[in-house]
Amino acid sequence: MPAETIRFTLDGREVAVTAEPAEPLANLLREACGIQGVRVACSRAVCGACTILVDGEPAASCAMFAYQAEGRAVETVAGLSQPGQALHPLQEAFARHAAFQCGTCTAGFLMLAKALLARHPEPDRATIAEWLSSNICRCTGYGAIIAAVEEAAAMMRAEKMA
Amino acid sequence: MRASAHGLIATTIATAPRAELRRAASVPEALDLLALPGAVAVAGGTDLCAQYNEGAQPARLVALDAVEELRGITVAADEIRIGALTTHAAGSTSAPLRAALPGFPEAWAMLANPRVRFRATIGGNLMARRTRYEMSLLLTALGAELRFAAPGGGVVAASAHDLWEGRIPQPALLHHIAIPRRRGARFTYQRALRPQLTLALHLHDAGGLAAIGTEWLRPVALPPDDDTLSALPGSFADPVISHWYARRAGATLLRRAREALDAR
Amino acid sequence: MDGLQVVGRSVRRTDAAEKLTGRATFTTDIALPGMLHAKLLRSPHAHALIRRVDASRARAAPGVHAVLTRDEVPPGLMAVYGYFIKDQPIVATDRVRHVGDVVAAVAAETEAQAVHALSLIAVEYESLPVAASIEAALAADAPELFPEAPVGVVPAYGEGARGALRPARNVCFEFGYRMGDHSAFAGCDHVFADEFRFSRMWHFHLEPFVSVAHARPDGIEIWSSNQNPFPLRKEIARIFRVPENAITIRVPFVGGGFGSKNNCKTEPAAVLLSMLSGRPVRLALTMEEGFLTNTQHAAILRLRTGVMADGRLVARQSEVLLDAGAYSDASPLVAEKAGYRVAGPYRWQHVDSLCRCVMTNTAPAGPFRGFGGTQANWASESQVDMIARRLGLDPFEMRRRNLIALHEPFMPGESGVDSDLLEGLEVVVRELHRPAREDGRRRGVGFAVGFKDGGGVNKPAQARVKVSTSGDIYLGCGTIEIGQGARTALPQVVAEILGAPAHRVRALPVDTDHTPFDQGTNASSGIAVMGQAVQRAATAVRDQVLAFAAGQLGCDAAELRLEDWHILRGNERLPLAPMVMRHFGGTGFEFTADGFFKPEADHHAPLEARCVYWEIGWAAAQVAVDEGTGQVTVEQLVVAGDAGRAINPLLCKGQDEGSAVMGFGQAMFETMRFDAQGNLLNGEPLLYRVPLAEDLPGRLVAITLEQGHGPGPFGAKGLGEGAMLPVAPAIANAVQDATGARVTELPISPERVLRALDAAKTTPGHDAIQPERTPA
Repeated sequence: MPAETIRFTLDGREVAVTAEPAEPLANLLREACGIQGVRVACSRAVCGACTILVDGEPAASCAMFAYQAEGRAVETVAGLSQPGQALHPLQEAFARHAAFQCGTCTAGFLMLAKALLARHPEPDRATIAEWLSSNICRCTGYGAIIAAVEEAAAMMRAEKMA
Repeated sequence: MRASAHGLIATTIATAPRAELRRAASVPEALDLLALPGAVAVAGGTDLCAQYNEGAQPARLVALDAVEELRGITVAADEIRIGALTTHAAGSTSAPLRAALPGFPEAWAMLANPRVRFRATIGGNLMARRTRYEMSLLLTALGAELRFAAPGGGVVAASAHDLWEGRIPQPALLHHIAIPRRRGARFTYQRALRPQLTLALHLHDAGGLAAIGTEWLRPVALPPDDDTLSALPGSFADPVISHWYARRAGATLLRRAREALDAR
Repeated sequence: MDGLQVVGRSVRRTDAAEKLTGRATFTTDIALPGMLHAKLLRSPHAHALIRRVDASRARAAPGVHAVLTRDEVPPGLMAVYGYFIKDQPIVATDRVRHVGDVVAAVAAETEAQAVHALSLIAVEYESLPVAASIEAALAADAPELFPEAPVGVVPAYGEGARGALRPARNVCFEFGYRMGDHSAFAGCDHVFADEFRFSRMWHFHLEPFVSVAHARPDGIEIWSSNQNPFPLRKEIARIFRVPENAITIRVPFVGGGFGSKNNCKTEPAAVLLSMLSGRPVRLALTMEEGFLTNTQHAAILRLRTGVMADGRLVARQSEVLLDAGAYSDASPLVAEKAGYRVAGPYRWQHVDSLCRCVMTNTAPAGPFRGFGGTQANWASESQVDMIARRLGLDPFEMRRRNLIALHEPFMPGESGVDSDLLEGLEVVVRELHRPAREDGRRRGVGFAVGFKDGGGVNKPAQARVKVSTSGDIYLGCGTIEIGQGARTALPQVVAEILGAPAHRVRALPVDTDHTPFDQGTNASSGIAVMGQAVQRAATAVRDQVLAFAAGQLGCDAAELRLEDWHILRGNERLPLAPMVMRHFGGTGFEFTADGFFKPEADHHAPLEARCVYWEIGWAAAQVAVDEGTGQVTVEQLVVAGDAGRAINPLLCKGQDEGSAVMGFGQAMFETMRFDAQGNLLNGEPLLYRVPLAEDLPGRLVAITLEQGHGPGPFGAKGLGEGAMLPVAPAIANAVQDATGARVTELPISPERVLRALDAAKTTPGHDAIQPERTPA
């Protein structure tokens, strides 16, 4: 199958990547786009370590093909904050609560939480637990992640007010 | 893993030879493409990626995204039609569906998780033919029809049971699901015991149907009578639960399902 | 208050920026120029002889640079590995012993090419009878997995302990411990015999087993997701007959291990493929392969416990059978721990423990968080509760009468227990709220004390600390950052001692060429063992600096203090950098020192060295039981660990929470299911269920106690395993409290509970199960 030019928005920038359309999207993001933070763990859309946002919706990039990104807005952990600049409120809250340990699931949880807070700026605990149940963390026991998402939600609401 | 007499090989989507992508624009075109050797249909892709891990190595991916005919939920006088490409997220939040069949979208909203619900479709859930996916159980209780696109146009109907028995047209392109509308229809899904055992109950003015299933077993349809669990086939047992337990806990679930519907 | 500036504070993890931005590098990210990708062919049979392997077509396949079968193993290599027993081949030679056993490997330019080439390898197997469980392997007619004895050693043991290789058919090792006299049973008012069953979990580490190996004529370089690079180096040197200094092992961040990533996993095959191809080779397993590579030990535990009518524990005889799987891996060490710990933290007159590793045709079992302690605690803490109820005693009171007191030795010759066990139990029980709702379900509470010796046995650790002219601090030590936060907490210890802010300390990357020796990141030893080496290195550097400054200032070092690379003398605050340059010249100098710690060998101690510290976890659970389905809901789970002194309270809490949730998964649903033919039925992440956020107990509280008796820096003890130990028995005890039903097999599934409820109803007071012997 010949390579095509796949165009999409990656973390806010227009990109055109030469790839076979049936290439796994996670590979494309890691290799052609150099985004190491997209981590593939179970490779069957269960654990969610590879979660990215596609048009704002969370998706397991291990289960997508390059063509499915065409014309879409793809967001990854690499776009949450810029080097040398302040961390995203979610990243900041994850740091404050030590809401990560080994770090394999972290980017996936950050992206999942970003989508959650976009839809539910003031989520209750049950909503947070339901959303976070999309992904697996084997280290933390989730308590710190839930607390971090709650705190980030408050931070983001305060930022909006300001 | 891919298994043969010589051994097991751990495959993933990343270890497969790159497939050829074919984009279908219409139902007839999709059928033509699916008839090609090694072709598989891709909707959300959520289950397909697991199939790669199980050794699948499709030669062709038939992208269905552009086949608009496979989308949408229609509530007609006699039936509800749900397009095969309807995602869990869309279906479970559909207001017309909620109005037409109370309890069903609520049950649908329990499946998978928020991340998967955005991408996975009702068609993918069914066509994966995995006992752990629950839509076929819900549809069994609802007496729904699975309508497949027929080569010359139109559709061919099958039941959820036919799907498990493999009595579906080839190449298989699920077009839509049709749920008959019954007077006084009410629906509940008892899922608290999952993954051990779940039970759906559909009652209407002219009767109803229960369906019971586990992570490992195909759903079984039962009349919604009080002692219906005594009719549960003896083969209904799996690596996690015994037949004894299925009957005992199933009876409790049925009672609770009735109570839930009575309380409405 | 205590004058500490850095220790005791929840400073931000040093890996936060890298891990939260996705920039952190793991072994799975390592890519070298010319690197090949390897894949494995695995046995489809649980037990079979290999009649023929023909890889000729694979060798000719596109992109293939190396094929490894039994025919390619260089003659003269002892191509087997293992901890005490060298029984696991890099690739199978004459026989396969479990589904997933490695039969062949291919290195090709892409994984797809490697997969294709593997599919061209023809293997003829001759099936053998299968022993897929402990019972099957111990049956009189069981097939033998190792008709010929592999090379093995029995470590030295101290008083009361012993070990033996191959004491019985399909038993690779047994550990025994005996203290006191058997006649103690005769004086007991009651003797209770109970059997418990423990299920087998998978670690479910998210970063796979992965390594990259580059074998060159002048040496072997390995990147590996591994918890103990120095023992790995030793094993690679032995297998390939190369000097240890010709091997460099580098360990970047490790994406979770929980015990699984000790010793050889993917590394030997990657090295051999690199030798065969002359290219760097990456071997990354999939998660499905991970399930077949290393697991926890399932177990059958039989306890006979003699007590007095007033609840005093007197004597315990135990038989623990561990399902070791097809290769010994760490099983002998796990047996040692399970056998030793099964007495529990109680005062006994007599203990007689036997633990055997039973070889079965299932995936090899190895180290798993808790390391035999989880098995031992499940049985022991369940039975103590059962006995209390049989005697009509309150389970709390029963424990109060028998728990080992602070500083009292666990066994003769052992170190004193360095936690107040009763205090911790009171804390968790008190923290439970009264269950509020009444909805027809039965509610009850249960608790348990988790107990294990921490810090490994006779485990040495070395560390190096150096400070640059400008006061920037380096810490070199082999503790791997596997998620626990070692590279945050250990620098805090250094910073405290050197009077520096935490951010001035950098923990150096780990490689076996430059990093001081360490036995491994395991046994919750990071703070209590390595911490002491780090503490000594930092103290030695501080003393050097103060001695240097004293020399420069012409005073006594005792007058000086170090603060953020300034010397404090009275009211003076003198910058060190100019002082250093004045003496050493403009390019400056580095103050450097090594630290070493190892517990003293002691033949009076049962395990040849007294335990460094005791890792304790307490749990109290409150459950609601649905009598219609047997479903147990854990409404509250309170756990506590004793950090001794918390170096970083936030990290301590994270260890206890994570550990408790893993214990909760084991208690409620997590288990690997093998059929009688040795096929793993749920070896993938959907059917093998781990806890998700929505599964958590309604209220989960992790309390970090700081009882102050630890041997580590500033009184610290290790954490990370303790809080897992008591969770399952606490929940089972709560189920009995709620309903009278006793579940003795994990997980505590709805069906098991429903059966136990029936049993409790049909035999009122069924829990007063006939004691083996009750005096007239």
